[in-house]
Amino acid sequence: MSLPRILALARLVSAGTLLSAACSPAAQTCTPQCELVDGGDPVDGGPADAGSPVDAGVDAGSTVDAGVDAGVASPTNPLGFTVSIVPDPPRLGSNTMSVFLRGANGVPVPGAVLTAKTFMPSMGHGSATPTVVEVGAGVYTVNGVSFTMFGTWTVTLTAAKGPLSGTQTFTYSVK
Amino acid sequence: MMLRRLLPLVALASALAAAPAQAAACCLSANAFGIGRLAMWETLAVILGGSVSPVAGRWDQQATWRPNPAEFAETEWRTQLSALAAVHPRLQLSGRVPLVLTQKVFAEQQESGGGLGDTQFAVRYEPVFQGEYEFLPEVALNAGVTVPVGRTATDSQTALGSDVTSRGAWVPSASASVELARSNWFALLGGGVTWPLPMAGFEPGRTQQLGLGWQLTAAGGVEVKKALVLSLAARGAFEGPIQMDGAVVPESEAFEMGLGPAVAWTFVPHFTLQGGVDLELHASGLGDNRQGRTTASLALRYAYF
Repeated sequence: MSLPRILALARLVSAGTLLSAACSPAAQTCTPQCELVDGGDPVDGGPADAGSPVDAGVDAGSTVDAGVDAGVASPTNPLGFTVSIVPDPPRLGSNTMSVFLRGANGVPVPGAVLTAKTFMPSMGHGSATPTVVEVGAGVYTVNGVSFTMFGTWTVTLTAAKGPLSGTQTFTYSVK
Repeated sequence: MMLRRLLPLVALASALAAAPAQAAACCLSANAFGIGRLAMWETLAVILGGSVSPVAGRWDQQATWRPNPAEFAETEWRTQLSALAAVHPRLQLSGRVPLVLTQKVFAEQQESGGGLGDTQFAVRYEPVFQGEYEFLPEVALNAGVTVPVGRTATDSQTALGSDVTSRGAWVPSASASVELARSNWFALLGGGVTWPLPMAGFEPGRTQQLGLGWQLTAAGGVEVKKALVLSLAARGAFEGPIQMDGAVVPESEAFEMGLGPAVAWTFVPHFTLQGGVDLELHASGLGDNRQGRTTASLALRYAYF
């Protein structure tokens, strides 16, 4: 394990966040803890199979599939998002998202202003505005992610703290 | 008198002209054909009606029909108050105010909600009115607007969106129709367009515009008994793609069609009972990007003359 990774884990432990023993690189759902344990190495830009912007060519602010690491933060998008949704796959009605927000060096970003907006592109409408609660250092829970119709939805997360800001859009299919 | 004999036919034609596009509040709230019309001897008409519309499924963005899963149910109940007034022998004004109630159930989630729906106002001009020329049909031109006074999806307070009653757009519309009435039968054909105006997008600073719409309607009926008219009406509506910040949203076009029988009975002078069923054919390719419904409606029309 590299020194930066050790330091990142130490910060999580010091913040009182437990690391899941069930995390593995093959986990279908990325959790903040899994990301750091499995190699969210800020120097390398993330593991090769995690769809990081460096490896997958995903631009900051682009749309990615649900459950995929939205990318390591970059100078153009200083805040990075790792998300999971419950239930997975999401269903009609209310769902809950967990968001791990980190800075350019992989450090969790606590105390950010995080907002979420839902949208159904094919119908041109959104749904009730979700509420966000910070539950740990850099870990936020988005409650009331409402998908009111069957079909494809997007959830756009926008975070800001001081001079740092970032936005990412996630796509979900409700069947 | 021939004109009196035509009264039930006229009333039915008025009802049918208003039948198209009673679609879900979320999806298509603008009707290009206005709210109906008055007979030439009528000065004012008030219509109080209601409808129930259960959702059977949806057409996805590839026009594939997808029936609702067993654990999901949705029904829309609607009450509408409409009024028409003649301000000139060839000019009529009309307005309609709906109240919408939607019930949704999904697994353990149950909710209902609603409220005032988008209101509609229209003006109708008849360059050729019924019976003016022996061999010419009635020709009518309609111009209207849908006012988004209802609750949009973004303002919803419910998880399943049952309190949504509006798409949030101002929608001007225009249409033209031709109607021929003879002895105990009538036939009607109309076409119209809707132009949703740009509106605020789902994020601050963004704008979106719903797609341009085209609507067609055709109907025909016959008086089977004194003051009792049966008819059949068909409709089709197409909506172009949505634009977000000027860019077309892929696969956001929509199409729906329906047909069904209707009945009108002028049981006493001045009062007509109207009822009808709008059926959508729930099969792939017969709709696109819309919910599939069956709508039953009933209304009481009072005409002052």
